[in-house]
Order: sequence, then C-alpha cells, then structure tokens
Amino acid sequence: MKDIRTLHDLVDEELAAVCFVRDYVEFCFDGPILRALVPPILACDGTQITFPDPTSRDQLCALIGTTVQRVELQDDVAITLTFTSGHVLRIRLDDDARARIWPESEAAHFVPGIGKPIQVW
Amino acid sequence: MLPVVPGGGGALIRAAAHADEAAAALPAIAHAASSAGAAQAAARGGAGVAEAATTPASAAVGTLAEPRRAPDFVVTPHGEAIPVPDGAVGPLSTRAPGFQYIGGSGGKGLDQRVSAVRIMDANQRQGRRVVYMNERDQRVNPYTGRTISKSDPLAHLYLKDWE
Repeated sequence: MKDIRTLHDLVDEELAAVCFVRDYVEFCFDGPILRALVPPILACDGTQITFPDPTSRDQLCALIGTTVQRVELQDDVAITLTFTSGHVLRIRLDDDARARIWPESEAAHFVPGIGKPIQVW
Repeated sequence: MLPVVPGGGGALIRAAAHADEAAAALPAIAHAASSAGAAQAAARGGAGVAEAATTPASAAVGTLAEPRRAPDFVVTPHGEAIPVPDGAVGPLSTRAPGFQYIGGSGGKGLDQRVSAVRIMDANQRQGRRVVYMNERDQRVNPYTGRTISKSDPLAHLYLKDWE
C-alpha cells in the first residue's frame, strides 16, 4: 500500500469497510480511516440520502469494494469523495452542519493509519 | 465538571514525579489550582505546553523529525494536569488548532487502550478541551477505554479558560 498522509492520498484506494460506531460513521481503507461526525450524505443518479435515514446504512455499505476516484476538500464547506461507481460521498464542514451536532464542533477526522496522528476538521 | 485529585495538589505533584505510584488515585484530568505544589506541577507541565507551542501551525501534519518522548503530564495555567499515556510521543499537529501525543498506552489511571490524547484550542462552539483516544483515534472513556458517543460528557473534557 502506498504511503498515505493526507486525505488526497485516498485516490485509487478501495473502501474496505464502513463502521457504525456509536453515533458516527467511519469509512475504512485498509488502514486509513475517514470519520464522519456530522451525518454523511451519499448521492448517486440524482438522488441522495443522509445517514441515519432509513436504508442509508445499506447504501453506505454498498460502497464497500469501490475505489476512490477523486477527493475534494473545501475547508468550512465539505469533504467530497467521488467513487468509481459514480457515488459521491459528502461530509459537510460548514457551520450549519456543525450546529446540528452541538455540543460537538468537530465535523470529520482523517486517520492516515493506525498509530498515526489524527487530522481534525 | 472535571474531577479533582483526592487530597489536592500534593497527590498531583507526587504523580508528576512518580507517575506509577499515583496511577491508582489519579483521575484523567487532575485539578490542583489551589495546592501549594501547583506551581511545581505547572513548571513541569509548562514544559509540555511550551514544547507544543514551538510546533509551528504550518508544520506538515503527521511529521515529526525525531519522535520525542511526551511529558507525563501537561498542566494548564490553572493547574489542571492532563495525563499523557505512557510511552507516547509528540507533540504533533492536529491540523485544527491544538496538538496531540500519540503511540502510548495507559498509565496514570488511564485504561491500557488509551493510546493518545489531544489538547484542542477553543473554537466558535467549544472551549479548550481534552480528548482521549484509542489506537484507531476513536474517542474513548479514559477510565474504561471504551468508545463513546459524540455527546458523552467524557468525549470532551473541558479546561478552565485562560488568557
């Protein structure tokens, strides 16, 4: 596996697992972890669903085995991952999204690997 | 509300000097503001704060030229002592304002599964706070090592504010 340090290094990486931990969601890439503390939004073919809406867990798990094609990071706006399947995963970083999870103020974490320092948004 | 060290700052100072000896008695966050030994603790912990302060915000995330052993505690100007997991290294950038010590395991009353601690600056919505994590950098209860929800009171251990 290539040396992954930043979010953008996830390009060409395959999603190996989706973990529902307590009240947040982790997207695991055989080492690196993208953690959504705000509800992640999944879009495909003109429709979108937000965790934890009904069926959202199934749809998020359907991403397993697909590969990241593009990573877009806009501070205070969103982290957006586009997969080869056409699915677009969006983690909002804006104030409104953070306000909905008050008193939490962190929207997302990226862990480049086990034992590596966390990056916080 | 943060827990207070039984017996006041004296216990904290002993813990700072002999961490293993005090492990059983020390809560995750110790408060020694009014103790005679607080200044000594602050002096010791201040090294940790000062050390962290020298890490430039622009430093590349996750890079550490030479891993440095973390201090046993980081102490705030109010004498709140933040135990750092045994064997951890740092300080390292967290990207968002704050710093972290990683790669440790338990000690000082922390569960063995606690491997890292983050000390975060205040932002628009939250004050200065401490976050304990496991090796996957999931937030955990520092006493049990179990993962916790975002809303758990132990997810963020708030520090007294200072200028």
